[in-house]
Amino acid sequence: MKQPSDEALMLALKGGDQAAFEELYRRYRNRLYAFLIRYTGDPSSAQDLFQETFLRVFRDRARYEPRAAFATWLFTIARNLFLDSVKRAGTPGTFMEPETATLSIPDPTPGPLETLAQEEGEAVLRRAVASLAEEDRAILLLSRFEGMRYAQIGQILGISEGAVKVRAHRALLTLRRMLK
Amino acid sequence: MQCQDAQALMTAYLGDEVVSIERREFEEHFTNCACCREELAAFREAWDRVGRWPVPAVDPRVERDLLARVEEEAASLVPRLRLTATILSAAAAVLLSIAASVFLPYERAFQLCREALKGFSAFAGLPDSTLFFIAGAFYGLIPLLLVGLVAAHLIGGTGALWHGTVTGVAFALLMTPYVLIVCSALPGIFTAAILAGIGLGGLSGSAGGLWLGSRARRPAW
Repeated sequence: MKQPSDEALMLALKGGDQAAFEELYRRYRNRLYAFLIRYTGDPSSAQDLFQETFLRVFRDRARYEPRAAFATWLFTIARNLFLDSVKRAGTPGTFMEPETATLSIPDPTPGPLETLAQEEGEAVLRRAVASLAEEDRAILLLSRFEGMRYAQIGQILGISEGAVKVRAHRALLTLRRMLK
Repeated sequence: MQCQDAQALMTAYLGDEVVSIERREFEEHFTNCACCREELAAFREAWDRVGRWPVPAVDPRVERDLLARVEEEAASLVPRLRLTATILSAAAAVLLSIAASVFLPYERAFQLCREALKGFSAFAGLPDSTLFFIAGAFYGLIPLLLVGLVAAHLIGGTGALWHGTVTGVAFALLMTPYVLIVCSALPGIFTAAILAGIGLGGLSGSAGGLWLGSRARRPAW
């Protein structure tokens, strides 16, 4: 049987079908959570934003218009909430270095040295991503992990597709230099 | 294509964002340019390395907390919607009923009712007060039936009986001063009959409209 689209589920939720919310949550929980962990660099902030984003989807369901893809709407909410939290905290919109390691699905059988190397590699990667400007970081993560097109990322960030292309390149160039 | 142009396209190429003409030129260029090939390999390495970043798992406590908050939100929203819908439904029904009585005054409705029932022997001996009651019932039944159907569509129509009863009572209370004013020339018994008809018709119409509406559309909460 054909699965309903995200947009159809969102319209069903708008019409009062709570099961539609559960299905959307099931589809997007891991994606959004992973994005927020990588984007904020702070598991605690990511968890708060994760909850707030889905709550906002639920609360604002009546305002949803299927003009844009649900994923665009969801990630736009997540990013706006992050920017709001940064503004409230009075800190610049930069990546927060985590105090604890991120929760992750471990490799099946890594040895102690491999684990250490993996953790070091991840820490280097985290620092490299942390050094990116907020927009560049969002573009890189949405493009690399969400497989979003530049046009869709442009909608989320409120910038042109061309600007996304330039910034995506700038982000990868920075990472390339840092990961050398 | 120049090296500078090719290098500017590398990220877009890795992200599959290069259009076919550009892609052909780009691929041609880096087939012949060792420097750009090397550069592309370095970009690809960074791209792949980012892609190997482990997938964080959702903390089960966060998940439980979120779903509980959504449930809470859903539960708190329905009574709020019902209260708003009750007030709006009653007000809309009052307006509809008053508009109907302007186009077709109660006395005229009573006469039409008497005419319509004249042919039926079973209703031949009905007293005028009963006929006023029957006529009045339409001024409650029809507006609230319509409003109930709309409300059921808008809010999901749960709790039809409770909502219908409260709306019907609110409607009857709001209609009373108007009926007393426009029927001031009529004997009190007739006014009372109209009011009773409007009240009972309103209760039936409201519950009926919501019931029909909620049967047509069953929400999950």
